[in-house]
Amino acid sequence: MSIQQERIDRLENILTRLHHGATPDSVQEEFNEHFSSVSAIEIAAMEQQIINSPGPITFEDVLKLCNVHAQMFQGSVEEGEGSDIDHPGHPVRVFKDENLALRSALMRIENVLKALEDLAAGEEETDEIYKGLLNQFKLLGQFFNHYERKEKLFFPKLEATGHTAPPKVMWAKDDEIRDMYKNTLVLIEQLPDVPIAQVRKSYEAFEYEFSEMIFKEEAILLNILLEVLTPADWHQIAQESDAYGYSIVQPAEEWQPSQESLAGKAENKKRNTSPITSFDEVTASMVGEEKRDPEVEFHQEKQTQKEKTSPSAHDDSSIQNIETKKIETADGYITVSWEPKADADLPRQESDSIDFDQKIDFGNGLLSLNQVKHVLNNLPLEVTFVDDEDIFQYFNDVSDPKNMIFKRTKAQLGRNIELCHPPKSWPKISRLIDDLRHGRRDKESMWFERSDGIYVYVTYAGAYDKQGQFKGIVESVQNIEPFLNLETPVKSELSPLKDEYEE
Amino acid sequence: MNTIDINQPIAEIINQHPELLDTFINLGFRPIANKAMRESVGRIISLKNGASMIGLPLDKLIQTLKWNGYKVIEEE
Repeated sequence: MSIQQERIDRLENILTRLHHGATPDSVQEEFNEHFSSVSAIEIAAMEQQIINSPGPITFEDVLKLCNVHAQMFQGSVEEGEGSDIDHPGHPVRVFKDENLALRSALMRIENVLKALEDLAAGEEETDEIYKGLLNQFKLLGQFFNHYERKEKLFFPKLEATGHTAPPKVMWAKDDEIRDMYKNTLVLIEQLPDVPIAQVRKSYEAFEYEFSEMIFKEEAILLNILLEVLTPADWHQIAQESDAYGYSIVQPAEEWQPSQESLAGKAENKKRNTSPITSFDEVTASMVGEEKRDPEVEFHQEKQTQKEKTSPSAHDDSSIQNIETKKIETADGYITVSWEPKADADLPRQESDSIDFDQKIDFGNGLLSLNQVKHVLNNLPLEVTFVDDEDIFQYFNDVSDPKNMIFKRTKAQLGRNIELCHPPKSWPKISRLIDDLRHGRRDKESMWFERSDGIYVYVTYAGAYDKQGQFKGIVESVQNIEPFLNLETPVKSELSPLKDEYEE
Repeated sequence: MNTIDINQPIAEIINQHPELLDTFINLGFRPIANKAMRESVGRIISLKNGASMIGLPLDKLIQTLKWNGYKVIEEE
């Protein structure tokens, strides 16, 4: 029997025991023994296979296995380090707590919907009950924050280690779910002028995908992340999470990794995690779809091409991936892996070799780098710069990330611009970048009113050198709502200072 | 899981269901918007007693919770 088949049988056996009520503790040792050298990706693929085959095992059983799986990471942590990922402020714990709160909201919505369906027409309390339903559904809408942190903080880390396919595939699904949510919200807002059956139908379609996504996050995504991310990565995520906000629950405490763990590797870095760059079965399991989406496939190829040719932050190796080799011996496998050093990525900014007060000639005057910083950070605009290789390189420091019109955090720096956008908006942006690169246009503006009252005005300007060579794109964003609603047509006097106000 | 025991202290209920804070404030429980109040007074006063203190009819409180999908425990 092949090793693979042995593993699947053993996994199925463990799952069956969990299905029949065995405690996670009772299977922990066996799981650790046989699966500590197997990557989360492979385990996910096996689980998918087992769920799809005839038999009693459901995804709830796999969820039980998730805790066993996560516990295995705990076991490999040194004595005294404690269960970091269980700390109330650790991003993994926050993520899971949010999912619990979101699931509770789903159940409450179900309760109210059912009550509405059982209600006879014309009963007096119906008005308040619609308010309750809408209240709960809007509360559920906070999942947008959960998804955004996933996309803006978790995904870049996966992409940086070469796992480009799962984020893309999952992000597309996130978009779908957000659309389904919006459609259902519109219907709920129209109650009682729409039949409750219509609301039920729309909600059910959304709820199915939403619950499936929770499962995929906890069964697959978190485990991959735990394998790939270091405590330093998690720390950065923890620090940048506030900017995006949370869903229903907040981190109760701030989490600080210990000094030793910060220097350490990912919880299970010794595993053979070859980067996932193709839309294969495992990534299919991330969305639960059998068929390939041709649009996504095209982007996969395009992406891998870009990574291969972009010298950007790396030395001579044009491939950003972790290279692994598995050597089979009589009793087992020796895995050899090589990865570029973390700090080999960016050119070291030796602040003592660049004088930030040194005046530089910019053509129309001399400015020091410190002065340039002041100029960039005091513009009434959010400015970002994408270089000629489509890498997001810089954004100015204009306000608290929480207050930014287009949220940017350091976690996205160095990311290919394609990966900074939801898949469905990419074709348009890609076209724009191409037009700017080839000079078909040198500037483009777009504007729209957002639900939070901000009237967004974005301008994309191509940057060209004296020879007309494309050098990158400068994006500037501002809120034009104040301009559309100026209090007076003229203001040529100074605004009074606080102490000048008359009582 | 989504069961609210109105005899429990307000602070405990909000710990388990942070989303209820806004609902309670809208019903008239204004003082608990302040975290210090929640952690002091909120730990002592039950939801039920709190409601009578602010003149909120008990059945309005219970109905609002039910319309939001919660089950309510009234008996002590």
